[in-house]
Amino acid sequence: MTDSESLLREKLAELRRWERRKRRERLLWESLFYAALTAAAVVAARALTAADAALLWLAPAVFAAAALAVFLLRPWRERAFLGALKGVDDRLELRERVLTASDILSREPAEGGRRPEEELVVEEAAEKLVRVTLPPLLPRPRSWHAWAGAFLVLLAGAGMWLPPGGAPEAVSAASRMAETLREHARELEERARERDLAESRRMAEALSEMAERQLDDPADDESGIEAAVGAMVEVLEDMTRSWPTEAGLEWPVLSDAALEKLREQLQRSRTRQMDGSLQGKSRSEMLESMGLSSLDRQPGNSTEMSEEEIRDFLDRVEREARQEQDRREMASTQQFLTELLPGDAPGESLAEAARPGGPKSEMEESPPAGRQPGNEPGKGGQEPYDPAFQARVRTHLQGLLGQGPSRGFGFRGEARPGESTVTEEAVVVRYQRQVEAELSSAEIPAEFKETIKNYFLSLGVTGRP
Amino acid sequence: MTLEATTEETTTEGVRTRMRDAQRAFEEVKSEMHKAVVGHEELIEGIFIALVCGGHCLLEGVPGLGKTLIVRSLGELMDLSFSRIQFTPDLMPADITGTNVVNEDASGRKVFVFEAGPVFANIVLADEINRATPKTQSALLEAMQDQSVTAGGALHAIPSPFMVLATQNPIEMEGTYPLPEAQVDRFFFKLIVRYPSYDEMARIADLTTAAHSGALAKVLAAESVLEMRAAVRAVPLAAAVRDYAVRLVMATHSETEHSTELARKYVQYGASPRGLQAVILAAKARALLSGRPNVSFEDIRRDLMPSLRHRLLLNLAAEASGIAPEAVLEEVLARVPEVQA
Repeated sequence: MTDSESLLREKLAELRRWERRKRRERLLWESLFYAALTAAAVVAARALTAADAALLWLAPAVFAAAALAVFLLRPWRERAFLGALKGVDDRLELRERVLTASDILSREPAEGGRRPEEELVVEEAAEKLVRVTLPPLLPRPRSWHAWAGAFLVLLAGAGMWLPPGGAPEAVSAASRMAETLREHARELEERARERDLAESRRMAEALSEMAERQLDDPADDESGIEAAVGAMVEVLEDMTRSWPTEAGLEWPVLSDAALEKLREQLQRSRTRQMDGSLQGKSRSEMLESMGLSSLDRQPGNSTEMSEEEIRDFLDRVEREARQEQDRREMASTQQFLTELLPGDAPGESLAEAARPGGPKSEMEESPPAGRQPGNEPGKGGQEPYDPAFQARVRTHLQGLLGQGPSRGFGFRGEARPGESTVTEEAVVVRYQRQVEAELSSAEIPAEFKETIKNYFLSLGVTGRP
Repeated sequence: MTLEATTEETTTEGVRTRMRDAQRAFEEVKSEMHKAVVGHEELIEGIFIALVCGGHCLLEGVPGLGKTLIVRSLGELMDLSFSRIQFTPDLMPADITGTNVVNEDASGRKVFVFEAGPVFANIVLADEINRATPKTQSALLEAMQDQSVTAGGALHAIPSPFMVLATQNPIEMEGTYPLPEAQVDRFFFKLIVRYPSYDEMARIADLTTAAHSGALAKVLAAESVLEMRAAVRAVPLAAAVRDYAVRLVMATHSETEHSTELARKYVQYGASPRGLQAVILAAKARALLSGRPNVSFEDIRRDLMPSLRHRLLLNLAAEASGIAPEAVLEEVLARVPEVQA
């Protein structure tokens, strides 16, 4: 073998190695492209349907399969090397010198060696290539698979941030309900934390868990969360009905602001009580000093209390004040959950109100009925709202009698400016019903129940508004 | 006649020398020819390549373009014998090949003596070959094929190198006997003699109407032509380049995987293996005369047209559409890739 021949063989081997490497890289990029395409398709399916994101395992499987397929179906062929040889000849303007020399070296020489014409071709090709580095002459081609694959990978990654799709109408209604519930639970927890309301905080946690459960599993339809909310309404109803009081105070009469103020006052009283300044005061005097005389169910109790008794009394009052706040939060939550549940007529639930299209217009609605509390006061000619009365629970009643304090039962609701009237019959009937609810509770001693009942039954209608 | 390659056992330096000599001779021939002939560079190159490849040429052109002058001048500067045969309808085969004539020897005995015809020359110009009868045409074509003449049972060899340049007048075809396709296929090249340009016409006028400038110098010996023929055949050809030539020839057929659109539509019969031989030999000659040791793709393309234009038989649709073989070959050159993917 001549020097020219050995040099040329070395150069051709270098070129062949480079070409095979480029081929391997190209096929791997192609396989990656198909894998990225699969991943993007799975992410798109996840965003549009209820497809499971776990299907992303298909991407590496497709990569492996595609790599195996392309390497088996497109093996290395000498034809590819021909193209490389031609490329070298074109770039060095050798007019197929290298290609012809490679062809000569690939053939077995005849007996007696190669012809001088062939030796000349090999010699001249080697001479041209001795100072040339071949890979830069034939750089890697731009593979559109590489660019497209990288783009698809980014697209798939971005698509994973999108919320999963699914049956749009059913899932989104349930999710909307859950999101509304979660928001309420957050607000409730915030208030409970500020006011140190244990029951409210527990309720907030329970509601939050309920909402998160629904949001984590969007495949669930509305029925699951509706059932949970309905059960929670019943639980709250039981809780708010049977709230004990020991201090003998008419808590429902007190407004929210007054209740808050009372708790602050009790805190200050505790401080005074610790320095002995409240010692010797009676129960009535204590309540009077706190502005709670009107709530006292046992007025006229002038028995002096010892320091310990005062301490206990204040503790009870504070505990009950906190419980009252808790109860009110529970009741408010119960009302919220009741409104959250879809009613018999369309457009009545908060969830439907939160729908992107908004609640349906009044023109589309049938006359309101169901649990929606409080028809607009002041409007005559409508059926009066007749809720189920519950002891110690604020109840909405049609025809608020305006603003200002009132004894007896507080009506929570938006007081609107302007005249509003309610008939005497309505008030009396409502009072009688409320009394019936109270009489059924354990608050009123049994020996007084008959008296109280007879009194209210004796109330007549004078015909005056 | 089959041309035998005679490659000497030489070193690479010897090959370089032969290449240089061939290139120089080619340049000298062209340069010397232009002293007598104006223009016609492609024609002169084509004739020379056919000569060093051992082939014959069919020249097509109207009268008065200098065909006879070119051929005679070529013979003159290469020290080759030249003869011209004017073909007419009454020309007989013996008028071309020669015949036995009765003669008296020294003792007065009557013997047959072979009188060689005009075909016994190194370069034979067969003018208007299509005017002679097929029988007469066959006599010449047989001599072209065998490089010999059989007369009276005796074989008379025609001296080497032997080259026939036959002409056809494309405008006076009435009463002529166009060469059949099988016979046309025997010609290595079909060269078109084009009308000179304005400047060439002016130069022709100056050159031919002034005092005669003198004889052309002999720049190439007959033996050198034979050596060049051997050198042409020895030029290496890579398999990929050979495959390119094969695909080009296959593309001229109407029903192969390489066929082009025009070939499918208008070609009745494509180029034969003789056409492939002509393409490859011409490419080797181009490489040698360009001073390169191997054949390139460009060499294959360079002489494809004269090698194949007379070997395609087009159908009536081509005739009706005015499609010429050149159009088919141009599409073949444009569509067939050098290296198959």
